Amino acid sequence: MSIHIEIDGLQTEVAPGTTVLGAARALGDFIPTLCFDERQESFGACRVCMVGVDDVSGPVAACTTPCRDGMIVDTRDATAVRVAAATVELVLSELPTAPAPHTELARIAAWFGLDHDSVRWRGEQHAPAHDERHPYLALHHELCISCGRCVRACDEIQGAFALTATGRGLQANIAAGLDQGFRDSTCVSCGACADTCPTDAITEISLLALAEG
Amino acid sequence: MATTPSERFDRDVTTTCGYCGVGCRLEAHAVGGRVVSISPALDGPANHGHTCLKGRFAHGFSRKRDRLRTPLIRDARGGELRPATWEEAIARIVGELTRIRDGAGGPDAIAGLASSRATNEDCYVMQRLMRAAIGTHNIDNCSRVCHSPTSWALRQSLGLSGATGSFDDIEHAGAAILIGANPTEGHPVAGARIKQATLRGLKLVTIDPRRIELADYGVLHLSARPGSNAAVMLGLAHVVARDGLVDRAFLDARTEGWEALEDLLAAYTPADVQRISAIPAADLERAAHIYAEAGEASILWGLGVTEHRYGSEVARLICNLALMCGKVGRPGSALLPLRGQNNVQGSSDMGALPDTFTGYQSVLDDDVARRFEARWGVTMKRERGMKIPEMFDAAVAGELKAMYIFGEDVAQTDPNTTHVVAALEALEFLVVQDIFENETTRYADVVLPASSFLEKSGTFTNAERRIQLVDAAIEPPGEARTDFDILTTISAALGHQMPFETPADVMDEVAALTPDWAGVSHARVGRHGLQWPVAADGTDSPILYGDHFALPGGRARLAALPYKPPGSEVSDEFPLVLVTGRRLEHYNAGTMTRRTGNLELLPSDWLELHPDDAARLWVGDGDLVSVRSPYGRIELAARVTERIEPGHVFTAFHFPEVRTNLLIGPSADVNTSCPEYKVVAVDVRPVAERASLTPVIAGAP
Amino acid sequence: MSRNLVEIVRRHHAVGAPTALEVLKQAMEERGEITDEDRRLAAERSGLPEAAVHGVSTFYDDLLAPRGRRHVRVCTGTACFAATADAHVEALRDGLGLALGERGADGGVSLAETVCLGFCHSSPAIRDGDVIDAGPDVVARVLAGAAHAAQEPPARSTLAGGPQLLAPGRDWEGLARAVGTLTPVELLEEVKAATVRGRGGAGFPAGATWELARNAPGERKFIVANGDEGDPGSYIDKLLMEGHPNLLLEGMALAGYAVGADHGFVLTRSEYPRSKPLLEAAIAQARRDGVLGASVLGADFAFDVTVVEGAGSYVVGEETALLACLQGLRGAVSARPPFPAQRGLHGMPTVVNNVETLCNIPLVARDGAELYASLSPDSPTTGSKLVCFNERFALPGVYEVCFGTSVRELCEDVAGGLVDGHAIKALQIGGPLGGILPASLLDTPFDFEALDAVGCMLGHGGIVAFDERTDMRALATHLLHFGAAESCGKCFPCRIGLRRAHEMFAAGTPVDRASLEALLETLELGSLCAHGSGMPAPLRSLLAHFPEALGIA
Repeated sequence: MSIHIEIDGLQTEVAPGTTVLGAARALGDFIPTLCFDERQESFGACRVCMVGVDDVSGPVAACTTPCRDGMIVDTRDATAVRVAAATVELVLSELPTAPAPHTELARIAAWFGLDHDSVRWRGEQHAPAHDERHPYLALHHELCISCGRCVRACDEIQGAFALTATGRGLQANIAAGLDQGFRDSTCVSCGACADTCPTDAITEISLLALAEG
Repeated sequence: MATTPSERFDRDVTTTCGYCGVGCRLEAHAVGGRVVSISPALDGPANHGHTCLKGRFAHGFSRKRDRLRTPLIRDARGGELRPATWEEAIARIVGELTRIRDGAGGPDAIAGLASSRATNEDCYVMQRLMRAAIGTHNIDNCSRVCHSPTSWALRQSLGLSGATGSFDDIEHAGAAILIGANPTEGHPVAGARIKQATLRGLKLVTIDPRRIELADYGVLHLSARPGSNAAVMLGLAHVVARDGLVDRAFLDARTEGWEALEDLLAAYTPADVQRISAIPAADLERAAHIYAEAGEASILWGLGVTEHRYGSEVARLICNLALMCGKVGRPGSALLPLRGQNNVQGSSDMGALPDTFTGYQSVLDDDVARRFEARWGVTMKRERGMKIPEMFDAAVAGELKAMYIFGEDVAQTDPNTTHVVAALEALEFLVVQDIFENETTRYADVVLPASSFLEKSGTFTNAERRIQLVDAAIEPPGEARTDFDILTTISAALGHQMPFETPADVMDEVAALTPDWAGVSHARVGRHGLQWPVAADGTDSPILYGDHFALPGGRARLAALPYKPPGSEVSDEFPLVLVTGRRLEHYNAGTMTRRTGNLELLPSDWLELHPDDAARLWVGDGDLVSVRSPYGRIELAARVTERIEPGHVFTAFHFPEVRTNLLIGPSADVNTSCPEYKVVAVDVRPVAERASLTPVIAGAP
Repeated sequence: MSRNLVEIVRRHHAVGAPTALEVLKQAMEERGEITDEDRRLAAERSGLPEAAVHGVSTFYDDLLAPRGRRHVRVCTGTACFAATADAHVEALRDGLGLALGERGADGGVSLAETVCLGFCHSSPAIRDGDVIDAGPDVVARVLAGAAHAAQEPPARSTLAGGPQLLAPGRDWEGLARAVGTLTPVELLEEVKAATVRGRGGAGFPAGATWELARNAPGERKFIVANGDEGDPGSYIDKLLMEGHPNLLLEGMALAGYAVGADHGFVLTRSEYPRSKPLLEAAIAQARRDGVLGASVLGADFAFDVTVVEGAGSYVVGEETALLACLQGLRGAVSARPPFPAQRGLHGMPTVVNNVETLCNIPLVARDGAELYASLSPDSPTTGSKLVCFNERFALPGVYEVCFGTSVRELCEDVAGGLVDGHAIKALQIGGPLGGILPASLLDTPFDFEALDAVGCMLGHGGIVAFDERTDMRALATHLLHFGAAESCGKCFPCRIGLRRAHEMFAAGTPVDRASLEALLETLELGSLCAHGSGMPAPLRSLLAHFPEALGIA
């Protein structure tokens, strides 16, 4: 049994359980995301993959919405794009500095035409806190946007369970083990967290050195 | 991928990891001729966008200050190695090898070792060099000391020397048996996949003397006494037969030898097996049911099966169990040996073995030999050459006079180190081609600076029989050269010009000479690899034996092989059993990983022992202990843990300062000469503090 | 919610391990703070990885504020705000000389904020150790060390036929009828026919959830009673759990019978410290009476109930967050699907119903769908509704009323209007995610659709009145402070947006209308759960009805 849907005017058949994001990507349609990583289960946190669906009143998150037969999806729905862009703008507002140009966040912000210097809402930002005790991995807490990708990489891919989300609300962040650094946790140094991080909150020491020249 | 590499890096290549046999596809990123970062390829068929700390981070060795950058020559035995030019080094090699080849001992006084770390193309060129340029079948590779028993057993039982399926079978299986392997340390990406599968419902049975990490995620752990694997496998088969779990239709249609096996199994009741293995009879019964009653089930094993006196026979008993249950040749039902090194599969596939050419074609087969002779323009003997342990014996006996060792530190990793060193010292001429000086280069007359996997091109073949491309991210340092370049140059200097411009040309010759590789070319291997056998049209084989086995009549052979005790048994003098293995952070001799931040993560090794033994021996956690076997003695720190059973101790062999392999004796697999690394009777005692080593502080009382 | 962590929890639960949250709560009770040693112990005992335990220990309010030997918790709920405009908080802070979340240097006294204690009928309320005191002079009593337990008014019914939901002396009748005369499917059909709409806020028919869970494949199935009545101003479930525990247990057993579940869990709030012991006493008695246990009322039906207490988190009232909390994980929301009825507690099909919803089931089971449908003659909604009123009313308390009654009638006739001649300026109905109903709209019928039409919601049925003195900008700030503090931190619009919205109002400067509207839209349309999408509702009402009071530029 396959499901027939239409995305941006293109007709496609997908297997049951396929998400709108999965179907769109299979068509080569770009939908921006921040908390999505194809190696992980959909999380639905960033709300950047919002799309319009013909018979649903507000936009929906493409990554967690299963395709329904006959569904008509508009990935460029004006309301959906407005909400997604505002959400990315909020993300920029929590960072003390603009994201580094090579990061996924920088590319997504650019895609929406957003600039760290001109966000509409300003307020509390994450305080800089650096942990560079591991030979390879650096954790810069102020760059964390709580997308959960590192935590899920450690859980769903490696199975080391060394990372966790911490706190709640704007104070939400991540920690390795009991927040005593990667080495004193169950971390196996696989680096999957650094690999998936969209902001360089977790990155490689060698790349930090590269960035500093 | 979180980043767009091209913005930050000079060069990005997709290549294949040079560490373990999982075969992770990697993206290597270089700036200014150095690798600065490695990330996993999202479409890697074995790694699915994941890799471990070795593949991802342990690349710094490639530009370490002590990398070999020029050839080295030792002018006289006992003298120092000195830098030399390539011309000088090659002249010396050609002169010595020619002298010995043309001398009384003839070409068979020379032997070569290819490397399971090197590419298929390098290994092919190495064996062609030995066979065609020198004229001997004395070529072997380090799979001898790890998975040769697996290779032998699979060929005997099923026909082809490789896993019957792929790592993807882990996710398709309802149950699995993991025996003699610790994948979360030794094959981390496969280990991670197994762990995830267990959390999603895979019923995993672990069989190991140690309570490995995956035992915590499985449904049942069987702590088998070291050396009792055969009894365990026979016991499982006994229960399968006794409880009517045999797939009769499969047995009748696709196997032979059941009657003899059935008779043999009668003697291995769970109670009998409990006496041999210390596994509770009820647990053994439960394990057999878990495996046999699952719709699809796989068996995975590692060196804990092979590195035993009867390791090759145990591998055949593993095949028996799968055949009895009809669990071969379907998604989820596979036999998956976890091959140790990145190219342990390929180095043997490429004929770097004393008895076979490429694709396990026998050197004794006249038709085969003629094809190779015609292609290479030489004539060859129709008798096999020496295996590695035979080479060392022959060297000590004065019959073998020269060795060309490529990418293997035999003086650290091979067993019975004292004997190996004696052999190396007895040689008239030793060439070592490697990336660092090591224990073996101490005995070398010429040392050639070679290239690491980050600096060369070609293919590796992983534990799934998957041939995957290797691409150079950076150039070899200094005057170091690629192994392909070195070996073809020396071959030409010896008078045998190989017609290869690039490694891709080598693969074309392999395809032309090897039916199972007929359709292989670098172009076809592409991003996703090919699992051999590969038909001429390029069709590959993710799953073997879907309808017939690669043996006469298409039938698999069941083996009626009884349990026999291991080669090393405890005694009053050596009351504990030492099992050796691996640690996550390091790789084999540690040549590469000890030169990276991994050393900071794991700076030294330790001896694991059970709290009961620790209490009896008055050993505390962290105390220095002496470990003595009939063959040698080492010292290292103790770690007290309940993950090991009383009576057993465990350590790895990654650190030259520990030299664990001094303890390993000559006992080896009866069919393949694979050393018995996994069972050594030892004596452990605390090393008392020695006053002479206690620092004296001036002025202290 | 991590499938792997859920599986790890399931495996450890199966062998009797406590959850990490239980171990951490115990450490907090015993020592007043959580150390890494406690976290390691919790990891060891629960089987949860250390990092995950760390994540849990930084999520819940109860685990965060350090406790002195005497721990004082001041209610900052909306009813208490309506009563004092937070004057009681300031007075207590000054009197104790402690900031919120602070422990005195000598470890003697500590002060923390709590939302809400469910004493909205007698606001303001303060919890001093295990004693909850409330009323106008509560701060003085607490500062004098003379706090005493405040009284709680009994429930009353305004229904013509007398009390239905809380009809006395009819405990277990519905369960006896069901297991004695109905098949599980017949019971399910009866509940579907009665159209029991969820009383927790969303109004989703319980029968549909049950059917989904009944038909979902699973080794086991569970019934979960959502007793996390976190809406400030609501104390209906509190009354049901503490005053009528058998009704809840009966409803759960009926759900279990219909769905094929053999075990139920009640999640109670730590802000209601009496709920868990009272329910557990009722469970113990029910087991002795043979109405719970291996054979319910002698039938071939096993059902038992476990009570788990939360640890201070509003969002845990959302069903996926509630399941996370029950399993001792961080109470963060998960995207649906999968719905709990498909993959819930321990990965098994799970019915999550609000306490009051489950308390409606015995009525359906004993008297049938027809009678149930007749209880609110002037409304399309079936059954009756419990509502509660805050301290501003002359006759605060819990009342059983008909759907469709006008809000004015409820406020003026049932609750007697406001005290001391004060006038209603506005009402907040159904908790912080509901709109603000201005006095001009008091004739709106009290029903799902009617309230929705004026930008409000029925919610839990708590009615909080603000009198004419209330500063509407202070109310907006109060609500957004709560919203930002309680955001679970998962979805970005809520995590960041509620903080930014709070900052706009707390700054004291004029609020830019365009950027506020854009922010509200982002919250409404972008948020993952009703917390983020619902918090703009009262702001929208205030913008519509009290624009000048908000200081909008």
